[in-house]
Amino acid sequence: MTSFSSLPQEVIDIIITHLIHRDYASCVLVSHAWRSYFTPSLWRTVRVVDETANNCLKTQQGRNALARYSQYIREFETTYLGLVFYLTIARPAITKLVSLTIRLKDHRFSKLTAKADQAGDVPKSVTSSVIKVLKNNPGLRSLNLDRGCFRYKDDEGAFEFLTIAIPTARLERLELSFFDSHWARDLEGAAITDSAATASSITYTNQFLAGVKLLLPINLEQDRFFSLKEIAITGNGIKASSMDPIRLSFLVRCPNLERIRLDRLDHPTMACLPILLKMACHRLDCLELTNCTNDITEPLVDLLQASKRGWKELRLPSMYALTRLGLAMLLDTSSETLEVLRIENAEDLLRRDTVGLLSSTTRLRRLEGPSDGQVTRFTSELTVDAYENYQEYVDGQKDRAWAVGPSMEYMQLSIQRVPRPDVVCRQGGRHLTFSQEGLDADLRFEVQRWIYTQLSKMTCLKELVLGKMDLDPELLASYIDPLLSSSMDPIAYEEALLMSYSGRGFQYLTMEFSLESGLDILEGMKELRVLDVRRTAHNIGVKELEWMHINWPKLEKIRGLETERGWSVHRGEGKEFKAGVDAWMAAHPRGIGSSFYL
Amino acid sequence: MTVILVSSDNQDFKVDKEVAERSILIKNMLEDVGESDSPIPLPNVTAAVLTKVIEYCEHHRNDPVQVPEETDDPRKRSNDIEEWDMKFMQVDHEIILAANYLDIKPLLDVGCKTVANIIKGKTPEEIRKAFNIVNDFTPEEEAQIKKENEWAEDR
Repeated sequence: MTSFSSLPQEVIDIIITHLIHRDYASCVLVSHAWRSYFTPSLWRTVRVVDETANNCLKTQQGRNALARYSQYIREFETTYLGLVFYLTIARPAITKLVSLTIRLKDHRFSKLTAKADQAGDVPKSVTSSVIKVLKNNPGLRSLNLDRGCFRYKDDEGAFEFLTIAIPTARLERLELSFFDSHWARDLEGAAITDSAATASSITYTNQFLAGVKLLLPINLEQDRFFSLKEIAITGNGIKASSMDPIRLSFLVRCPNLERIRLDRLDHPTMACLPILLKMACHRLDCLELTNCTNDITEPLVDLLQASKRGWKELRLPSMYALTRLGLAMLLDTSSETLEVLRIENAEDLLRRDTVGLLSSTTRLRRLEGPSDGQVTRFTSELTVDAYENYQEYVDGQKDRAWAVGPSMEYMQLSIQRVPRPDVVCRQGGRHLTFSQEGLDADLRFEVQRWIYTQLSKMTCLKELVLGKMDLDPELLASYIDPLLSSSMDPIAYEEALLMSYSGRGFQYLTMEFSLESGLDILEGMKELRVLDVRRTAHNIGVKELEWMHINWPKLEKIRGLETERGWSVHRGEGKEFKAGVDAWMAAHPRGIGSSFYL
Repeated sequence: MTVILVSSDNQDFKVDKEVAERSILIKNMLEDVGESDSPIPLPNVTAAVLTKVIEYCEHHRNDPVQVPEETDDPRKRSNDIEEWDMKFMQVDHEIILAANYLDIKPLLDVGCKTVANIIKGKTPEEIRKAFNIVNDFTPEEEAQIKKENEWAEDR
């Protein structure tokens, strides 16, 4: 590779897309020619979020550089008020931003104002500075502001002026944070219902409605955000007074909103938001909700009715907020539209309802649960009671057959209560046959075949995860003497938990994924890449690996294949069994499926 | 069916049509001309380079037509060069030029990724060495640019 300069600009542009910011900084120092190639990329994104960077740009030399390269700046992010002030007085002005992020957190501004850059036309308040920057950049596509930009204390009505100033022409994404760390309370603590707020719910939604009507003419005088597709709002937990829902009335100007992400919203805002969304945002079909208090059941059911066209993507934190009513509502409006569903905690959702969900959604693409490593007190995925599902079907309830089919790509689902008379578990070093909890042990294979048949409809499935539920160390500690637990091996630890808190952690009455149990029914799952059986008592051995090698050519890995536990039917021949699997895996280092060995 | 490609130094190459059509330029030419045996002149590509390009197209003749994954950040993907391609690309930038001219998108991508990988994580001096570039900055200029960039380093 010798002559770089002979490459045409379009080729250099492709090379640039494969590099990161730090590389651009090296490249401009190579030669004059290289400097001209890479300077626009280096200055395209200016991100000043730490002291070092801020100190560099604070100097006269830094300011000069900003001025010299201002024409290249497209993305600007800062947490420093000084830079916001600078943007308002910069010569030449920075006017071509497509992305702007200002996060001032809890700066106490009044004192800073006096110190800001040069005197002259320094705006009087933070909000008016931000407004000036917004007015300079009509082409903004993405905007992200926090409450430091619109504090009431500095400026009466600051937020309203700000929303009027946001450029409407091309804005696609808007993120607003009302979060104030001084007032934020631990959400775990917020589990105690803010009863005063709930009680007055009807009063303030009425007040809110009146307010919205009052503001409607003002709002409709403004340009609409026709390009705006996505809004993210971070509230302030349960501190109701910190965020007046009426501030969100600008949503009536967003007719094409498709996606809304809500984090830490207080009860009043949750209750009022659906009114606005139903009124104006008729294209809304994606909702993401994180960090809610426990008392949002009512507003959540309301919110779930806010999609006119049916939800396409839903990411919800917990089902105890949703309730059966909410789920029924969801299936009513969205069973034919829902493509992505994520529920971080499905513990309170009845297993029957999970089957209801699986047997009525036809376009589901991803069914997600808690992520790996997420060990909050209550996280568990959607769960199917295999035995019950089978019995219901046998009893003639045909609607208990699953409808999820070829659209499915990722599925995280705990399949429990499979009769497994083969499973033994350790307890205090002894092996005990695991209780079958009133299951008919003779139905072991019938039940599994039924479930395999349901799974086999998902011919495009890429990842099947049978449980990511992690053990909560704190919870464990409350059941087991910490002195004892520190010396336990992980399996014994898990066993102890299982004994004291049934149903958590490792699952014993689960699918085997053995040929004997009917694995070959899954022959059509040609796209499968990952099978995750970490939390299940599977019986995958060499025979099964051979079968998977041929029938699932793209299978990369099986998570949780290690058969070191003391539960398997193969216990007697356990060592030999494990040695076989280990040898097979060692002979197939590139992956399990045959496509890795063509 | 085969087609005849003629390099800039007038060498003929007999290639399967399917292989030649990996080049969008040639594919479009063939479509324009219709059924014809007349050789296709490629005045911008030397025989040495064309040999390599054909080798690449032969190796990848059965690849599915690339569908660009829109959501993927290219920055994260520059490590996924196939082993065969990696060895292949150790030739030189003329292949990139030819890929660009002949409009063979996957080859161009591999070429650009290879160049990017050479640049990645290197100091300016190391980059100069790798590309055989003379430092034409005065020490003052260098110091000034360094100062201007300080905010961007190490992130």
